[in-house]
Amino acid sequence: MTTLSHSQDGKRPGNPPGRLRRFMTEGPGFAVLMLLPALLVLGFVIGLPMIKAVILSFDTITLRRPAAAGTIGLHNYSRLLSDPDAWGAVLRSALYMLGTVAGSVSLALGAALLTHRVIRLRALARLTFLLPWTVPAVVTALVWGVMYDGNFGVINRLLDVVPFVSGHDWLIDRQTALFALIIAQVWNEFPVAYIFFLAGLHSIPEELYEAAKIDRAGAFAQFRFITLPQLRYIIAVIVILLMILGFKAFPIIFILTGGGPAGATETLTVLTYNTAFRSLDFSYSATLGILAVLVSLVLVLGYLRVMARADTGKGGAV
Amino acid sequence: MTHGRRRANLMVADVLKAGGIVVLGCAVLFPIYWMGVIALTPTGFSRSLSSVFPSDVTLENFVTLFTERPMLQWLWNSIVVATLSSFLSLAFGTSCGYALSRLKFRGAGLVLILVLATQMMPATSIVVPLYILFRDFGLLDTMQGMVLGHISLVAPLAIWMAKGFFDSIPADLEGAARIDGCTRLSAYWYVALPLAMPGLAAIFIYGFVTSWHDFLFAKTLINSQSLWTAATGISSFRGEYFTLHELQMAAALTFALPVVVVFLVMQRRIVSGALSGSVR
Amino acid sequence: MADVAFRGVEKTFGNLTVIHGVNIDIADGELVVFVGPSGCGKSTLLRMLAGLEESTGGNITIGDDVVTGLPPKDRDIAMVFQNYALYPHMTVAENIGFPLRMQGMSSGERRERVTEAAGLLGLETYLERYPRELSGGQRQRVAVGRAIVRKPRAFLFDEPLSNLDAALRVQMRKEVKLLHRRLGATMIFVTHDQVEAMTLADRIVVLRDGRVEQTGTPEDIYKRPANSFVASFIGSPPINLVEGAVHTGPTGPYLVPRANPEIAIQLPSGLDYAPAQEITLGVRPEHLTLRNKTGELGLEGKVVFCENSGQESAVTLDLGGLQLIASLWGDDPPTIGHRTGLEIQTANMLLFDAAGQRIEPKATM
Repeated sequence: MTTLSHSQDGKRPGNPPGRLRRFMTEGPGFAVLMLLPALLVLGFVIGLPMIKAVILSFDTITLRRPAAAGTIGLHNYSRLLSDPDAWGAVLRSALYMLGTVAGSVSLALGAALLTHRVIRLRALARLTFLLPWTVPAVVTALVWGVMYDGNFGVINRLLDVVPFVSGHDWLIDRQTALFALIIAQVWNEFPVAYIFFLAGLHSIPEELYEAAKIDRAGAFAQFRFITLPQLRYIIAVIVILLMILGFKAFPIIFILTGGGPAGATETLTVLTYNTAFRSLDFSYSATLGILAVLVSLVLVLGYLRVMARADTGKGGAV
Repeated sequence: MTHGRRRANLMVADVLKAGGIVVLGCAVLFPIYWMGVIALTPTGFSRSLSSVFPSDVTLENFVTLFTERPMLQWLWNSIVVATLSSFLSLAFGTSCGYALSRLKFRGAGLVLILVLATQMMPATSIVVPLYILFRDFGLLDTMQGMVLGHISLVAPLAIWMAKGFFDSIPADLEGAARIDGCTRLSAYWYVALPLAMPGLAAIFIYGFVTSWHDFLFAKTLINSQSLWTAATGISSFRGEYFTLHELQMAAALTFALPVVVVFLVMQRRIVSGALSGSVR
Repeated sequence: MADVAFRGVEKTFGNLTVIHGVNIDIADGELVVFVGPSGCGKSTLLRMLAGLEESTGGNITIGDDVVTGLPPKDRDIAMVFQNYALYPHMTVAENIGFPLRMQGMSSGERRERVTEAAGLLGLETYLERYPRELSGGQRQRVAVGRAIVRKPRAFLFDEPLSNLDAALRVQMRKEVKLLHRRLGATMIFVTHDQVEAMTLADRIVVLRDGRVEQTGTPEDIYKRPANSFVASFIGSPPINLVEGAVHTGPTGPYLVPRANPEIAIQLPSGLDYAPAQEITLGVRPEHLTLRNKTGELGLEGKVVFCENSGQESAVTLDLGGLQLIASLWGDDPPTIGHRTGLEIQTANMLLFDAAGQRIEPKATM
């Protein structure tokens, strides 16, 4: 009977092939079996490059002076510490992050507040504010490039209608280039925040608003004392997520300005790329890349902390 | 306040809100609309457009694109690379996500954080050493190298999302399966995996789109024009046809359209997938 | 079928011990219920028996096999889960047949066994449906069907009725009992509901904080609880516990309750009481009788609250700060505020020492 065969099976743990099979399907071997393929692949496409980056950063691999290769030392790091271009790039990355976060959060929050209780044409309203997200960064760059065009761009032509404002070469002017890029980036990525805000607004219990109305709270008071406090964890999560996105940003900047004019939009990511593939100084580029990884690690740790607090915060509120 | 006045106030608020949605919505949709308008305007004529409406609609830009440029080849390259990298990431990532969701082992938290960190660090930091490595391995300017590069983008995402989907399946189901005669492995195969199927489909689409959208790896790891993906191909138009906006926009529209269509078809699932993948 | 034994079984999570060296013996064909408040470790014990949780000490045996360390599939047991744990992507027939499929049984034989099990549970017409198309009671039956189809050595039930509504729960309880009678199988049933435990069990294991408080038949547990915890956990309305000191008077020993030292409650004689010993008196509500006149040493209380459930009323009486609950059957419930005499039958009194352990009567019983 089946019962018998089962208990016999259980009594034969000493059988070598059986033991191996059990180890692989039940024991610690199972974890290895499940984890190993992914870890090997990630090790090859991410771990190995990271190690290579560290090695490069201590070496002198630059196609300008091939003979210098093999000069091992901390020279790339000491150069980094006193390099005004590098710290300028960090500053521009910070500005870019701040600008995109502020723009995306306000645009997304506004759109979410406007649309989350819409009943008629609800799907259309939501789709409208999600659509830019599906547009590739490359396309975003091309479209905004065409719209920003100094001579024929639609933005300047629309501005012609407004008195006292004249046409402007948005991407060529050092004063406006970074700002113009931030707007394109915000347009492309604010839907991420919009989804979070919609979900957040959706999760606020309707009874809270009913109770507030009974307590004679007006629309602004409801927003100030119910909506904002209830959304505070989501806002915190979104801010860090957008900071990470802003810090990573590359294609829009690279395609539209390449870091120019005269370095005015050269963020850390663009500087890393240009150092490797324009100045052909791979070692210094790797050093800049490591700096960027360290910055993003800080952001990730912040993200994890906020997430942990959001989880416990939600638990406490319910 | 009288009943009537309160109602009037409510109506005013509704009208203001609807107006707000329309104005903001038009502003947000305008770049997409404008891309379409210029793409449909005869080559060289967009500069003489006198309003925001198209005056003379034509498909000649698209014809030029597909006949005089290897647009079809680039799109095909993109499809191949996106399919392969997304499928492989899914194959490796699913089991890893399952292990992270279900098995308690030392270092699980660390693996999760590392996976998250790799997903969140700037790709420029990876691509420079990867370029040097691939040069040594002979993988530069090959499709295989390109697929591997994109796996570094997609796999962390796949692992993280798969963990989220498995977390949402009650662990008792696999407990029941193991009591019913399954090993951990067959419980995964017969119970957890079939139940995660919709989630895995979402991960595949996500990975596909991520690879499709990528510009940096495609630009860096590939040199030959015949191996370019659509992303590198159309970005080259900005340099090449700097003032020929119509061709740029036709290429941009062609490249963006498939993803937009997929999104429209699967809107609901993608939105919930995005939330489960990144929030949890 | 087989007997089951827990021998010094322990479970710790880091520094936290949730099961402290538990010993339980379950005979072949017995229906044993593990009962206790939430967090007492009853589900953990069951999951350790199933192999879903690892024990950190001791041994578990099923029949002649020590199963500690074996994966669940090699233990030859079946389990019904609280949330049913039906496979959502399989039909009822596939769900019930799944254990057989895992044994490699041919599909023809499988179909035969599934049909047989479904017939036993009245599921024949639902075989091609999916779990989401079934009601709670039907899902429960499918889960039971999946358990019985493979004739395991023991059945484990992890609070399987707690997601059902009250009427269905009573019915399913009956069906589990009938199933046990028909199969004669070893069954272990976990619940937090003492009524379920009392009505189902051949034997009850009462657990608290990872320790066995008492093992015994329902009658044992009810009439001879080992300690005041068991006494108060089992029974509804709950037992009255009166703390006080023992004194001896001309009519024998009596209790002076701490809540109201003005009164005295006659205690059974024939027990060794130390002078002024602190004890706890336990009286089940049905052993309190209301009287119109009070006897000597008679007790008198005021009716402060009355819950009438139709056939039975639970009357709360106040005796100058000491509150007691009496169960009355059939009679018209007394009016609130009414004063009444009451009598406590000494034969049914339960006495617990300061540590809560029951004081055994000497030879009188």
